[in-house]
Amino acid sequence: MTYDTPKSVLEQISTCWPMINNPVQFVMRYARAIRKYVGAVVRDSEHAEEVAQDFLVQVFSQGFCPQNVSRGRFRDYLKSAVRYVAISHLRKRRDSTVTEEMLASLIQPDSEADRAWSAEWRSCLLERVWQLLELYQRESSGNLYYSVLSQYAADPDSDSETHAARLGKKIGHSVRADTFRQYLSRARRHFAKLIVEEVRRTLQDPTREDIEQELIDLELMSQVRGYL
Amino acid sequence: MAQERDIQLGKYQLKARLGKGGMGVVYLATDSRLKRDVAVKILPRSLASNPVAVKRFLREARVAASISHPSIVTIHDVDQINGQCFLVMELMTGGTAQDLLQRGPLDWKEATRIIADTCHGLAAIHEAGLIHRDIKPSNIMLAPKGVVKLADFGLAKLTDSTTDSKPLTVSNTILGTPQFMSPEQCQGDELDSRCDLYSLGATYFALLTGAAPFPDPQPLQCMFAHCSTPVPDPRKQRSEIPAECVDIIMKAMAKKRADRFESAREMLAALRACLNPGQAVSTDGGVKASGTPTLSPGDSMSFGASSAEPWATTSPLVNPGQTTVIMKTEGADAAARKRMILAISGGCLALLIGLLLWSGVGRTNSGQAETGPSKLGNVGPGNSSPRPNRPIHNPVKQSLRLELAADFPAMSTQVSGVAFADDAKSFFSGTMEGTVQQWNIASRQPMRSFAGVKQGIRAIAARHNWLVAGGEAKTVWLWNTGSDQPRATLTNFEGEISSLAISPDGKKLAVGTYSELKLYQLNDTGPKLIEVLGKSTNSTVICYMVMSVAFSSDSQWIAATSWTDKAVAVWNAETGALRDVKRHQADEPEGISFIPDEDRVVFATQHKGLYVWDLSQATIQPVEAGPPANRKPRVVRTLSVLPDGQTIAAVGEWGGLISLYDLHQKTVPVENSQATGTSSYGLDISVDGTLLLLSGGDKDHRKGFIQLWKVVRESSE
Repeated sequence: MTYDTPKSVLEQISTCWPMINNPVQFVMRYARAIRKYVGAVVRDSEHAEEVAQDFLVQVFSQGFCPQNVSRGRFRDYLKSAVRYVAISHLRKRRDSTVTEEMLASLIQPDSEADRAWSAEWRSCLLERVWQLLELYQRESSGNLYYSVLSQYAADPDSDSETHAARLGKKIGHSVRADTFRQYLSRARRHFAKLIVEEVRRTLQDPTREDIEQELIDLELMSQVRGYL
Repeated sequence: MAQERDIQLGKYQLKARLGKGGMGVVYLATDSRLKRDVAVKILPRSLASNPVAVKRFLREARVAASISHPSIVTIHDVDQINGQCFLVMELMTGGTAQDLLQRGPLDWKEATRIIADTCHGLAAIHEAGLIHRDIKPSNIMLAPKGVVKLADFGLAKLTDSTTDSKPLTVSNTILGTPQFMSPEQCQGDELDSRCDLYSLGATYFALLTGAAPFPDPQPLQCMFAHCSTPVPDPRKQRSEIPAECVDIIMKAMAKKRADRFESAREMLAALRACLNPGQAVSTDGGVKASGTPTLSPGDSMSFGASSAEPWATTSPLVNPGQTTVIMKTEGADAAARKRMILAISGGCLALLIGLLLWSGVGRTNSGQAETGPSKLGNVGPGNSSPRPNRPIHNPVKQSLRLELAADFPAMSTQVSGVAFADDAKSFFSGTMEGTVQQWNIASRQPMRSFAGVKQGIRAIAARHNWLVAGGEAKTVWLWNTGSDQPRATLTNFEGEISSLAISPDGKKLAVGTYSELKLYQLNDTGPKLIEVLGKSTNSTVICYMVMSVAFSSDSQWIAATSWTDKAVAVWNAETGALRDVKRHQADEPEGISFIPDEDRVVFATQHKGLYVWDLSQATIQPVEAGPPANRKPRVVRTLSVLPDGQTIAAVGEWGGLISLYDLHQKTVPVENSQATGTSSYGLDISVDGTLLLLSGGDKDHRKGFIQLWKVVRESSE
């Protein structure tokens, strides 16, 4: 049985990937996914906390170098690094429930932990995009992208008339249904742009195909199709 | 520390090291020119040697220094000498909230008050376009008597970058305080003011429970928790914490910024609502509509007609041309009784007077009034003068302008107060250098200096041959204006003297300080205490930061504003009995003045403009028409109603301009055009209303001015 060996690559510093310059910040951006993944692997909250701490110490002291990362994905690299620390921890526990078979199952591509990781990563990424959209609206006088899109996302079944009335009440002046649709279209386009930019930040020197593949893998393509 | 003694940094002599933080070392120092103790923070050379960082630091520190707020530690100076970049700040000797935490968690009310005051200062910072970025208990400074001030704002940005994009710090170096950092700070994202609200929420948690929400001593783990772990319920540590406090923490510390309070003002409103349960609070910190409740004297209740008009109880003040007849309902003196008779004559008489005034008869009345009183004493800062024969408001349109009559020699320090002498041929001034002088208006030269004064003067008043001054020394000096030796000295005040007023009859003296409000009887033997109207150690309605005091023109009533208590109150000046008080959740009252011969006071607030409080009717109405949002927020240090009963002169921190409000026309204020570029603190109006004295200077006390303005009235029809 072989596992990824992130410890060895962690010892090497590369500047080829922008995020590597500040791995702490990047790890913090996906902290929720890391915590979820560790929890899924270790299945014990106390031990999960220890694993997370061990992982963070490694990140802080050694940084990242994803030279051997599959398809240049920070997501995969980070998962490998976390998994390595988690498995090392499980081994040290000398717990009878920790068998080689169990450990081997953890690296299966469609394991429960893997699915939890992907779902949470996607959630973190989308949350970041929503935050960026909200910031964009705050900093752009008169912009309503966040208001429009969040209102629509919360109630996609209502028609434009209803949404326009609701938005008008919120902003203090009337909004026509066609205007709302126009706002919505622009907001979606900007949202899609932010998704692509955020995905691009998690990839090393990506091509268009790399980005599209990651969007497909994260089930985000439907959000950006038509805007690429 | 021995080797650090006697270090001279410009005009500052470093005396002792007070502490060290991530952003440098703080020293106790003496300003050798102003002879006052200050705190000097010297930035690390590693930062000071970076020219881009220094430039940015100086720029931001100067913006920060321009903010004057009672809940923010004042920055006196920022400079660079021989490569040493340093800040000079107000010296705070009461410790920090972190020191309080050493003794364990705080009572929830005390914790909430501290956080509310901090949030108040934070709102001012945000409204100046700055982000603090390092809110934590050790940056919340405590002054004696419960005053809370936020320190170190504007500095943390230096730790983030030297340019807008390039990190200043080396990779993997964590600056800041992880226990109180927002997720977006941990993640290196672009920040906005809501990161401070998160940190303030974390600080609130710490004060309530005795520990930070994520107390892991390892910075990385702590940051990781901020980004990924739900905030624990503080009631699990202290079950007595009210749910309202928990709700505020949870909202402030929401992981998503959009889920947090929208602004510091919104959070402040929630905190104050927590302290004052039962009072609805609007999102901007104002009090929500609750009608016009019936109040008894002494009730402390906020109320408003709408959330947009937080102080107001009814909408329009008066329509242009409307006659206003006011009567007193209690403590009526002879003059008031006359007005009552007038009022009892009923609406027909009011209508008749109104018609007469509209027909132009009022002009004659006005002319009589202008030549009416001859010996009424001075109008001190925040005071109004009695005009027993003044007719009812004249609605004939008059344009009013100011002409600069005299510009007195520039001073080397702030002139904090001015007051006309009884004959209006001379005036008195007090400065932050601790001088009190009398000036000859004709020669524009000082006539004499008054002895005995120590430290800076913050307030001055003169009437009936009495002259009083007080300030930083927590002492009030009282002179007979014929002598330069003090007639009496009042000491034992708990706070610095912030406001003074002598009643128009010359028989009473009001002393407002940062911690109390006292009323004295003035007679030949000197001052005698009548009543302590407010004191921080008692549960009185006015406790802290008495910004302004004023007597009514008949000397029967005294009014005062308290910044910290957000209260305006009126007492009987004979007995000291409280007549009425009005409070507000978020807007701080400042200057105050009675309208001559009326049972109404005008007061200014920082955020919503000027208001008229009708004491008889228990109503408060805005002076300016239109929504409060259209009014420019201003720190009105002093205001006074001119003898015409119609014009309000207000000065403060907007470049030395004088704003003239028309009480009846509800117009946007007219301003004189010759701004000094600094702030104005002293204002006095001659008895006949034709002259206006203005004084001020920069808040660093490095320059000051005195100007005499002529009030010119021109009828437009």
